[in-house]
Amino acid sequence: MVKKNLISLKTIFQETRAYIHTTKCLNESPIKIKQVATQNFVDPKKENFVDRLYVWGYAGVGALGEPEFIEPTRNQARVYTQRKPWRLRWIDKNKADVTNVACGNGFSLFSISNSIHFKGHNLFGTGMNTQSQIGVHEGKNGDFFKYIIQPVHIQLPIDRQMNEKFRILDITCGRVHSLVLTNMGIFSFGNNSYGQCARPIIDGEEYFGNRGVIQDISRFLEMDSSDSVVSIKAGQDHSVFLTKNGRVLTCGWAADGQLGQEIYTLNPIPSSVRGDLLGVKVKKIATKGDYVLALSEEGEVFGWGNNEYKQLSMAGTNEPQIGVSLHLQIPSYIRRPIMDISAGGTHCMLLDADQNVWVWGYGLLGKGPKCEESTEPTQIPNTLFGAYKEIESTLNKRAISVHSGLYSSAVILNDGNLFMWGRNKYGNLGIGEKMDGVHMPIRVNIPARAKKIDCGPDQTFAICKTNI
Amino acid sequence: MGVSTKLVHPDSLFKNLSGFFALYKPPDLNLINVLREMKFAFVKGTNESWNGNQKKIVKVTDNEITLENDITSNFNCSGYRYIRKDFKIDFLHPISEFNSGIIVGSVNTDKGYKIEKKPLIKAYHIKGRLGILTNDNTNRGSLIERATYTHVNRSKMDRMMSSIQSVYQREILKNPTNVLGISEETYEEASKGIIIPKSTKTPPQIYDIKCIEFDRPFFKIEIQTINESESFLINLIHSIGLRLRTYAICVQIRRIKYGPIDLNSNCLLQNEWKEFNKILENLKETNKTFQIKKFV
Repeated sequence: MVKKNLISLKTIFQETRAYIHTTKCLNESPIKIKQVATQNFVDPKKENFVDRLYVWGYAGVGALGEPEFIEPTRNQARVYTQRKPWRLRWIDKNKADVTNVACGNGFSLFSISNSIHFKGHNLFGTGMNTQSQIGVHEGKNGDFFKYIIQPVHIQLPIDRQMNEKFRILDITCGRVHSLVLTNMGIFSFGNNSYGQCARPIIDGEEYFGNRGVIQDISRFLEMDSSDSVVSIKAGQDHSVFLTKNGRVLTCGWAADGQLGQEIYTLNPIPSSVRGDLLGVKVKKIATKGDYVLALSEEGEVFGWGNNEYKQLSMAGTNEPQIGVSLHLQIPSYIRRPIMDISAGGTHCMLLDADQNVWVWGYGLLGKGPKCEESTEPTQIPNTLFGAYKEIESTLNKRAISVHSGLYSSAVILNDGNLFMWGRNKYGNLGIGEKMDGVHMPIRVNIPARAKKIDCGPDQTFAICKTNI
Repeated sequence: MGVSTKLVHPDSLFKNLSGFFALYKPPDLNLINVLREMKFAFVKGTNESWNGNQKKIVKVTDNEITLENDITSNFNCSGYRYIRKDFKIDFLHPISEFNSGIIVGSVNTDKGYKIEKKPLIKAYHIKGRLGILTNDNTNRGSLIERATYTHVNRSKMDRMMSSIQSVYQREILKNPTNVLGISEETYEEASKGIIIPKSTKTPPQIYDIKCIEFDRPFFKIEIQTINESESFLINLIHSIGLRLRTYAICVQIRRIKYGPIDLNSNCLLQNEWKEFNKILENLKETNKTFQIKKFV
């Protein structure tokens, strides 16, 4: 095989030399040489896709996982705000596939698989650890680390973690707590003063440096033996669980009614949501701030929680707090079935059957500086995503999924491009410009195709794919 | 009595013969040759259809009255009615000898400059070749240096395209002070459609760029631009090559769109612009698409 290749290489170089000579006379390229070149060099099946993790936003606490920003080895200044997407070299060194990603207030988690140095699925975290949001990490002197500036392995309390069957299915981060969903149980760590870790509150419990914080909390869930949790989402101080049968369980702080259980205090034990959601099979849940949206399998939207910014006014009430799940009557001009949904701090987003993006709520909605609030969904024009009427070849550009952080929003297109808008105080939009508020979608310049993204309040993590 | 008589001025065809036409130029053909062939077709067509040479003289003799042909009005005596200088042909945004594509021209009008003033969207297919550096960045120049290009990939090419596009898309939104600020006016302008610069003197804009074909060392790019020049397109290919850590030269440039005129619309081919009837058909259609009254 080697000999054959060598022979073909020789012929190619001879023919390319001939080609240069001929192209001086001819503008069109000869067809023969083209075919020779394609057979040997280019084979699209051989190109292998590789995961990249791009991070940007506030780096002062170490939430980006790049130690060069805070303790530079060369004579460079410290970086507190990374305004452009930065490739995390840690992932490249370990040659890992990134499966999930989550951002909290000053800390972030990600799970990897198939790396060189770590077998199977593993969980890693960086950033602030004052309430042991990213586990307990002990130094040499017996001290515990409060701030961690590069990714550290989080050991979950199971023996079989290095087992091949161990899988991390989903991770989320709240304000000071985080949740991990695996096939061997659900784990929570961090602050539990409101019961957001889904276990009973202990008075006077110290969270920092306490190894008992990381616990398996699947025994506290009110579920049948046949049922199991599919996905988890954490708000600011509450947690939401979605089961295989379509039930929704909530726990944590409930001052705005974000638990949907007709309580306005708190509930540390996960129990099911009351109201219109009873008997409805839910497909997806979305929460980030202090209200929750749920999408049923028939394409209907339900919501409960904070209504101060009229996010849930489509349910027919103007009460500031809604304690029970209500059916949102979404106008008929939006084509069903609804594909995707997301809930931010004060605004919501929706993806309809034609893959158009609709926004409502309060804040930087992405519809210009004048449009500050709207009770009904309004469409973001597709021209802002680069689909121009004048150019036919761009008309097939459409949104695949919508994501929103507390103050920012993101849309991933079918060609892998990422568009973001919202508040940009610490450069968490990745635009590169020093602007506080961005009122319309602007393309983020990532040299790869975006697949998954999670927007935190100060930082953003995006999983992308490229060929080598 | 059944014969209907129509009074037509013999010069009426020449007077109405004005407006725009579109043609598709093959490569390696200078526009001067096109102009010469088209002028020949115009002269031939107008002179053949001119009926002024059928003038007749009435001769009265003693017995009878006869009609005789007037020799002075014959072309052989008086020379041709229309000559080359009567037709003023201009090409708008002309392309050079080695490149091919759609070209729009005007006959006997001064309204062409109004189209040239207006920034129009133009689309190109540009073909490049990796691994070679020449003195003028095209395949006509002399070879200076070679470089390896086997590390370049289809996906690396796509990355380049998206990064180029994001730079240009953000430049549209920037103020004259070069600061990205989004006012209500810019938002409304952007939501309606493409933001087109008001004058042709602004730097070139790229609205869409993508790689259509990629078989090393050749690659083909489709690009939608405004206010571009040929040297800009050639330098773009060169800079793509440098960013991919090789060299790249421009092998072929083909214009596939000029404002409202596509490859689907009626374009004169090389054998067609020598025929007067087909030019007349083309003039009718392109005048409709450009809507001369709007420009006037």
